[in-house]
Amino acid sequence: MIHRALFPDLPVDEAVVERYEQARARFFTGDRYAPMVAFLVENQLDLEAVEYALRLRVRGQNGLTQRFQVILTLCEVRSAYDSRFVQRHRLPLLLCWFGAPWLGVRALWKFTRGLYLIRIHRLRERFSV
Amino acid sequence: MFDACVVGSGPGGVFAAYGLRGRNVLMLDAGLQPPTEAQSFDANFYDLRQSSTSLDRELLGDTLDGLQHIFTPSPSLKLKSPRTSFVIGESARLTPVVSESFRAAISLAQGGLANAWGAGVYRFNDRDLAGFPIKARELAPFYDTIAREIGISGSADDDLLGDFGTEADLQSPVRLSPNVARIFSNYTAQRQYFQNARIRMGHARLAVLTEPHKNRTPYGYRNLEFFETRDPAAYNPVFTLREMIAANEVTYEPGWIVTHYEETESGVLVHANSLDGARSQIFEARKLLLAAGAINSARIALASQNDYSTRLPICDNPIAVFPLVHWRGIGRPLETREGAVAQLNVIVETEERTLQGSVYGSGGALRSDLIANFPLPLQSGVAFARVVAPALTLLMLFYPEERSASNYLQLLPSGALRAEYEWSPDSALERRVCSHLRCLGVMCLPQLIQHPAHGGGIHYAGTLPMSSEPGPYETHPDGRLAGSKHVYSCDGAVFPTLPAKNLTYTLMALSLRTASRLREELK
Repeated sequence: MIHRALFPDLPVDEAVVERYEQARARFFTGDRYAPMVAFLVENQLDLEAVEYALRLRVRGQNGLTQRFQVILTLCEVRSAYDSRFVQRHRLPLLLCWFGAPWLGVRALWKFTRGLYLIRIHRLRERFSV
Repeated sequence: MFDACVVGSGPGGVFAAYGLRGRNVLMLDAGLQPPTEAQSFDANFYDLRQSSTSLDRELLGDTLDGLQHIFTPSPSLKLKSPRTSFVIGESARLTPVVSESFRAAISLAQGGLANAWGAGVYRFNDRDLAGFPIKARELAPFYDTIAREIGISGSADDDLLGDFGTEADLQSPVRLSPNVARIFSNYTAQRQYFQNARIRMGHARLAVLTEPHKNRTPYGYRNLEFFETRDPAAYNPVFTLREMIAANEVTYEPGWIVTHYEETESGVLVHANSLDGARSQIFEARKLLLAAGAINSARIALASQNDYSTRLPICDNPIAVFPLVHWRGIGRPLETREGAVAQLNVIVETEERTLQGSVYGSGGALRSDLIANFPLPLQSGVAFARVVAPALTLLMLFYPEERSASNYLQLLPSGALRAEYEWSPDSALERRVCSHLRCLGVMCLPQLIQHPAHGGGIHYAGTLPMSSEPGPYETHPDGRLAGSKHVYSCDGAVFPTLPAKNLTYTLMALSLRTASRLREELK
């Protein structure tokens, strides 16, 4: 789910899954965010939106952002994802300039959606995060 | 009995031993080494990223140590990868610092924190040495000796000559990336404006070779500074130490943590524990030179007096990181051959103080280490980082620091040090710098300036400061600890103030000066 939220058009690399499981065992054992993440996954909620809203609203580190960061790092060190992280060809200037407002609109949409999901599912109260 | 015992193998320790060559010198060191199985990458980072299916094991380690910083923030992104984490490895267990307000990076590695330094080498002038009981001319011959040993690149004819001084055999400066070259060209075209604003800029002065020197190869612009240490192009005290060991000029004893010392009439008894704590040993020497780093030298000095009440001062250079975005670079291909060392140095003067900074490209760190800092959803953050990175350069601006009652170390009975640190950025100054930088054709927003956690400068100093009339836990101008006959300080501890310039070159010069004088005394 986290991988799909980050790279919706890419198939999951099995090696990423294996290493994520290793990371989960090492870093997330007993993590208080685990029940909330399980709930989000089970209900197929928009993880990216919830993460974004939590990141902007909760001070300090949160377990959901940390899970995203782990997946991001595990992907970035693989050549299959190189083009997602490294700009190797010139992009049309218009695409860049129209892309900026689009990122702003998308951020606003994801933030609103994230806040809505947190509120409607009472995530902070239910999972004490 | 040894003539001298040097504690630590960082820049201070190595140049203390260097100055004592010809005497019977013992160096006690924890001496941690990089993982033995790791081979040098031997290629450009961005070529490797395309050609290797995965760099997972190399960059993150078998047990994913390279992800640890996501959960426990690392003092520097340079110290998190499996091949660089040894630099601060074991320090939390063996030489702990307890603090809510100060993130100390302590190295027990052979070569010390210089395994991960930025390699900036700047002579202190009399203005920098204003709080010191010595003058710049006294240090000049020692700077000269060190420069010949380490090799220095930079420019001798730009606006920073007056700040950095001249070096014999100065190698040509490191190559500028297109973004940085554009900044420098815009600066040159508006030099008068920047002179009026009291901002100067020039090529970085670095202990990084651009030409061969002493069997070391020139800088390869491989962008691997965040992932491996000991590039032969960037000076590391280990290079000099190995030469001295091979020439039997020093007896090197790795695997020891010095806990305290006792002075006798004829010398010093140095108490050390093995790294596993299973063994203790006493080493005897006529003179003791503490070069364990400003923090650990303070620990040894306090522990030797069983002093759990004195608060020793601690200084570090606070940092402000200015992201500079070149509009025209957005969406262009990333410059993959720029390297991750400083390309330009910047001086910012105000009535009260002088700040110094370095301009870096953005190719060094993994994007995933930065993406969560953007105020964007993460999928957008990935795209944003990819498109904006080719347009991004970073100015890391260091503030000078004075000793202050609120910034101190105190030894706890457990052996840990307690650290407290307070500091606030000068927002008005940073806004002013931002507005001037915009004249260089870059976007610079004060809202985007980052301030790493206190201690993140990793320029620790001032714990046993030098004074012409030293009191307890202060040092004489020759480095000797007040109230002691045989104990000297040879690291950043002796700095009474900390200018914004990287202190390493000067602490090497001070250490060499102390050792050279002792060498005569020990005849």
